[in-house]
Amino acid sequence: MVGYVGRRLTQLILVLLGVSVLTFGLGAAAPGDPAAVLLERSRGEPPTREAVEQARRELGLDRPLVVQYLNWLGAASRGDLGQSWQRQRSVAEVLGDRFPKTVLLALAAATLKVLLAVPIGVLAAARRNSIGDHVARVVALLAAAVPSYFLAYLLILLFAVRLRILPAFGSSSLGHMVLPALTLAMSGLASLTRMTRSAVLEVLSEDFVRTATAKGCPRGRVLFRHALRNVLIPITTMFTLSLGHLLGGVVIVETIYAWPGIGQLAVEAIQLRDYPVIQGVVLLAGVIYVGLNFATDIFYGWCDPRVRSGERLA
Amino acid sequence: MFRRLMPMFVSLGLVAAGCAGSASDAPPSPESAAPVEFDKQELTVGAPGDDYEERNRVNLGYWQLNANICETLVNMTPDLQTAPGLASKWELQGENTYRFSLRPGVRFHNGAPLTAEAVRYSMNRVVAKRNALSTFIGPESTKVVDDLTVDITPTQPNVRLPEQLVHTFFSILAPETEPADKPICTGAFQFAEYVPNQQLIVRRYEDYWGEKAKLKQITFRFIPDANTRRLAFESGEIDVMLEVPREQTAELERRGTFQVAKASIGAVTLAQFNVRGQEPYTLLQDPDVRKALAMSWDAKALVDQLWQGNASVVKTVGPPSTLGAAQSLVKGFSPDVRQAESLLEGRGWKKGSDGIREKDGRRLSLSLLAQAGGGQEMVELLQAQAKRSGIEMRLDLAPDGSIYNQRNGAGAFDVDLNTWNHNDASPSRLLALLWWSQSTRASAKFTTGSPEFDRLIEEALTARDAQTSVRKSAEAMHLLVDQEALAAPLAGVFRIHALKKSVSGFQAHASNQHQVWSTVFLTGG
Repeated sequence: MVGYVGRRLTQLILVLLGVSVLTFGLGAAAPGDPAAVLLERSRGEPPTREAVEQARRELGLDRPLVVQYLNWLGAASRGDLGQSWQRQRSVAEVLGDRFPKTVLLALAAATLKVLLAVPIGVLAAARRNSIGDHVARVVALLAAAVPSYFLAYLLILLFAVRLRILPAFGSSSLGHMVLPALTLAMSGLASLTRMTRSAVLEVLSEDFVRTATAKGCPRGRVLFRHALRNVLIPITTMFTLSLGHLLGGVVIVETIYAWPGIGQLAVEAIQLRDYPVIQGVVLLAGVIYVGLNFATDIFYGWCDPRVRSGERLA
Repeated sequence: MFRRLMPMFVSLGLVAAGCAGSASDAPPSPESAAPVEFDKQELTVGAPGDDYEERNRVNLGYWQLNANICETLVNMTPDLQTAPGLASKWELQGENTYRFSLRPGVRFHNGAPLTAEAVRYSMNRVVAKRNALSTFIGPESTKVVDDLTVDITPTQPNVRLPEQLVHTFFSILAPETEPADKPICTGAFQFAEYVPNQQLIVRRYEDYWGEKAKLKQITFRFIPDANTRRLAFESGEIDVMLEVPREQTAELERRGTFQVAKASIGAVTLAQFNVRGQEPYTLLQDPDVRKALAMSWDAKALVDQLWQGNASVVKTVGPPSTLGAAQSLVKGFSPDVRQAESLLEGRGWKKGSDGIREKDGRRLSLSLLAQAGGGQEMVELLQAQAKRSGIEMRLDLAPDGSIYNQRNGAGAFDVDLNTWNHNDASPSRLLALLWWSQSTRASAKFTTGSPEFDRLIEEALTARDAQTSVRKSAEAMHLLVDQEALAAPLAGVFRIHALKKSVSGFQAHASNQHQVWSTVFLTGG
């Protein structure tokens, strides 16, 4: 197990280094001069050439790219992601303001997705090829096919405007989280439902399930006590992967619901050429995604010894 | 069976709910118009996205969202004229010094009196933040004469100073305070709370020097998405929706359950032409081609078809009200495709097989620079109209302001399409910014006019009385638009806001920076 963890950790570090190089390189290659943008936004009108050059020197933008990258990497490894060029605060502080909002929303959305998809998938598998099975799959597909921005407006129209039972926007209470979480949950519903259904169908054809049924075990118990436990691993994998995706920020939903998460922050930073914040957001999203994958791999290896031994043999 | 069909019913219900009318569509009854006690009144305003942090946290509560926390020496009226603000009067002393007399008895929100020292502090802060714009105010420009008298002498001749000081950048702050976190000023409302990207709350200032605000509290909620802002307004979560998209205005008006407040023209959508560019941006150096292009466009179709009349056709490059009667000097070009074609034929531009004109093997194909979010439909309509005369317009859409400024500053365009806000009371402001040879704007060297235009602008900027300044601005505009055809004004844009029927006393201002909230109150219902 230690060797398995060690190998995964090495891969994680290499991937993170690659992410950092890519984000830094892409940010630097993007069109637009961040010094000019910074001055123009604070003054309300385009700056003179001399002012731009002075700003470039102050921000270190006149140094070679490699030097800029190494300086940044060294500081980042100490937890210092630099200063936001637009917000007069450290990048860490800016991310710290927005990230908890994204975490809340992501956890809620991922949990809701599992709570909806798993029962639907299990019941669809239990009643295979019935009308319920078909309806469940069609509804899940519909939810995935409808663009998230359209679904968001539809939900606001129904619950906030017509029924007036939920707020249309904002982030100051748990009630504000319902609609955005539901919107996000619906978008990944189809894949998780179908995966659950396939996994349950596969387990239902196993000998131990046939044995349990033959012994007189009630159908519900067979499904939820025996079969479901065996599909929890792939479901957990899907849960953590979707959580990783959500924790990177979901721009459209955050914008529509005025939810101030890091998705919105990323778009603002890109428009403003706020390089330190762009790098911080991408690095954070990369760390989370890679970290969650790492945790999932470790969990897999812990649950299923075949995975660990398979690695060793390879 | 019913349980199996439940998901289908839920789906249909969602669709039906979206299509059905709202229970709140019924108009309020007349008896519900009774006034409510002012002391308890609170208003919630849905504002566009919060850009305070993006703009270096300089001007909380007074730019771009003006929450009436701070005030300027000179006010701008809804029709873009100057009026006394914190200065009761001002006069030109000598060639280039304005003496402002402050109102006595005015107090900041922390109880300190308004003095000339506060003005000096505020102006020096503007200079330090590099926000002095084209006022030419420098670090030594502001001098205290006595407690209630202050002199401002720009570093370069600038007789238009009072008109420029209406800009909220020049708000007067309490000395030694920093509005980055808590603005302390003299306005009818004082700062209460700010949560970035969520809300700004202000409360009535009980010791205000003027007429006290009627509302006890205003909460500005930041809602970046216009559609969400609209839905939040319809759901009743906000009382006022700022910046209604023009495409949605007609539908809101038809419903009749809300008020729609429209300001006078505060911005102009216009096309600027690159007349001094390098290859391949040289096609518009021919004035006949510029005139032909201007004649190809039908601004009325733009206003009527795209915006359902929620804009106005204008001939001037700024709000017509800034020129008063002198606006009649500026004629513009009426749409005339035949005349446009005749001009182009006369210059040797012959129609090719695809309808686009050619001359010496070169197509009459122009690059149109525009910003994303500026209205794709407007651009497409202009392209189609130009094509009728045989002019091709290739859209170069800048995804954000940074790219736009880069291309604009490099002269990488034939036509620059943009909408320009008028945020101060100087009629020559835009003329000087966009076409004057002395402008600090990078693109001005590609769009600048003749020496005659420069002369008129300089006369407008240095005229000691406002009437002469207006007249010279109008003459410069006439030269720019009618004779040299350096720009084609298309539409005058006005701000549109939606309010609940219970909101009264709101007068939409042409400039969002100068919106007044102290007169607003709620009636019952």
